[in-house]
Amino acid sequence: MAEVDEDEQSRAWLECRDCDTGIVVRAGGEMDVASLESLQREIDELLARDPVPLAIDMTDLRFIDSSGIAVLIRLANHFDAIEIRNANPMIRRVIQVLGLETRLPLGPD
Amino acid sequence: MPRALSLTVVAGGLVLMFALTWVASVVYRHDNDRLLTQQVRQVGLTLTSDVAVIQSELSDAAEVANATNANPSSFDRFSNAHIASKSFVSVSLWRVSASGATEVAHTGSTSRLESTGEASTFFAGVRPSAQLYVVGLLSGANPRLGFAAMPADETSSLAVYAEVALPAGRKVQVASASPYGDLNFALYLGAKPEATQLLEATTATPIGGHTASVSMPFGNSQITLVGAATRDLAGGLSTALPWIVLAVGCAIALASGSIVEYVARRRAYAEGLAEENERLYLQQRDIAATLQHALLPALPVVDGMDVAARYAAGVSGIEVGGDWYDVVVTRPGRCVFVVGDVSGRGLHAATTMAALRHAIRAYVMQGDDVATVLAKVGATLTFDDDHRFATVVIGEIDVANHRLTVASAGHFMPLLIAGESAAFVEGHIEPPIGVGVGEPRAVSFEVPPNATLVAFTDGLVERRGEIIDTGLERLRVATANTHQPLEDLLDDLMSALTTGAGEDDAVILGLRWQK
Repeated sequence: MAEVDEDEQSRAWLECRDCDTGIVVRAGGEMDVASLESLQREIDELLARDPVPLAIDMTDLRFIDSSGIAVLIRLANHFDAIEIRNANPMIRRVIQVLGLETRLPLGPD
Repeated sequence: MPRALSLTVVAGGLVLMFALTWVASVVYRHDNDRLLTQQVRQVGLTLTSDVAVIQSELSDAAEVANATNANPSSFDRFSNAHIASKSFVSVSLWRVSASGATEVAHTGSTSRLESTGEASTFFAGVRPSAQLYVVGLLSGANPRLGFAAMPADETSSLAVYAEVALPAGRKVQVASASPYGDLNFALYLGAKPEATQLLEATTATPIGGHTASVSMPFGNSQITLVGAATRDLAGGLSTALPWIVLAVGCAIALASGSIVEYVARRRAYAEGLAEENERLYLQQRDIAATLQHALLPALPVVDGMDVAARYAAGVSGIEVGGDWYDVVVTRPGRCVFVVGDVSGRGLHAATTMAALRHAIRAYVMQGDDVATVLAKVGATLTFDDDHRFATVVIGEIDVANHRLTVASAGHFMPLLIAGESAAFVEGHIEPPIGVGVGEPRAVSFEVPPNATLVAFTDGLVERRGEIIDTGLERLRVATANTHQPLEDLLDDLMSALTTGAGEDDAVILGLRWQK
C-alpha cells in the first residue's frame, strides 16, 4: 500500500507491512476529518482484504479524532480481531473515554 | 486601478528614457562640438604658424637692406629665392617715410598693392616694429594676400613687402587622409567671417550646418577659421547612442509596464477571490449556525431546577456539527437530560443527530429508563451503513428526592458540583451508539442539595496535542467552588474553555437543584 504524503507531517498515512503473513498496518501523522479524505483509497483497499487478524501500529500516529476512530471501528468490524499497538497516551485515553477498549483492544506495546 | 498603475509605470519609464536620451544626445553634441572646435583650432594654429616664418624672413630681408643701404644684390638674392620657390609671387623693397612710400626694388610680378593704388594707404600704417603687417587684396580675378615687415629699429626706413597668390576660386583641397580630412573649413581675413574677406575654403561658402569658428591673431590683423565636420567626429556609436538608449529604454518601460499590469491583475484577482471566499465562508458559517440552532430544542421549565445550555461553533464551524442537548420533562418532578455528539460534520452528521435526538425523546416519553433508552437507540444507528457513531450521556433526575441516574455510551460523564467540590460522575462507559452491542448500565445515586450538574461535549475539553484528562481537569477546576448563577457559570465556562483553540463544536448543559 502506498504511503501518502509522508513528507507532510500533519497528514495521515497508512502503510501495510508483512501483508502476506498477517496484516500489520502502520498509521502515522494526524488522523482527523481533514486528513482522512486522502486515506480513502488505502482504507478501501484494506477493507477489500479477507478478514484476518489485524494489528495497527500507532508508533507514528500523533493524533486521532472521532472520524479517525470511526475508521478504526470499520476496520475492527471487518477483520476478525484487531489490536492497537504502541498508541501514545493521548490516543489510548481517547479510546478509553469512548468506552471502546473492548472493540479496539490496546495490545501489548 | 491596476491599469492606472501600469500606465504610470510606462509613462514614468518613458519619461526617464526620454530624459536619458536627451542627456545622451546632449553629451554627444557636446562631444562633437568640443572635437570640432579642437580640430578647427589646430588647423588655425597650423596656418598661423606660417606667420612667424614669413615675418622673420621679411624682417631679416629688411634688416639686410637697411644694413647694406638697400643694396639691390642682397635683396635680389632673397627675393629671387622666394619667387623661385613660389612661396611669393611678388617681392618688393620699399622706403617708407612720413611723406609716403616709394618702391625701391622689385622682383616677380607687379605687386597688386601698387597696381591697385593702395600702397600709400597700407604703408602709412607700417611702422618699424616686430610686427608683420597683413593686407588683403581680395577683389578682382587674382586675389592676393600681402605681407610687410620693417625691422624694429627707429633708424630703419626700409620695408620688405611680399605677396602670395590665393588659389583660383579660393578653393583648396585637403587630402582626406590628412588629420583634417574630416573637416570643411573656410578662412577669412579679419575677426569675422565676412564673405568679401574670404581667403580660401575647402567647400562652398558660407559653410552651412553645424560649425565651429575660431579667430586668431594674424600679423597686425586676425584670421577667422570656420569649420564644419563632414562626418561625426565622436564616432558612429556616439551618434547611435541616444537612439539605442531610446529604443532599449522604451522596450524596458513597456516591458515593466506589462509586468506591473500582469502582477496587479493577478493581485486584484487574488484579492477578489479572497474576499469572495471570506464572504462565502461567513455565509456558510452563518447558515451552519442557523441550522444548528434550529435543530436544538428550546429548554423546558423544570420545577425546582435551573436549566441552561450553551452551544458554540468551533473555528472550523462552517459546517453543521453533530453536537446536541435535550431536556425532557417526563412527569412532574422528573426530567431526563441528554447530551450527545455524532462523529463527523456536515448535513449528514446533523440529520443523524436530529434522528437520534427524536428517537431518544420518543423512548424517554414511553417511560423507558435511561439504560434501556441507550440500548434501544443503539439499534437505530447502523454504523456499517454510514460509518458514523454517536456518543450519548443520558440522565434522569428526580428533583424532590435529589436522585440522579446516569448512563453513557462512549460519552463523558457529567461533572457534579456540590458545595466546595466538583467531581465527574463515576460510572461505566459503554461503546458509542452504533458501534456495538453493549449492555448499557446506569449508575444511580443521591446528590447533595443545590448541586449543579454540567454535561458537555468534547469541544469543551479537547485540545489537539493534549491528553484528554488535562482538559477534563481544566473544566473541573474552573467549576469548583462556584456560587455563580447557572447562566453566568455557563457563559464563563464557554468563554474560558473554548477561547481560540477550539476546533470542534462545544455544548454545555447545566442543571441545578434550586434546593
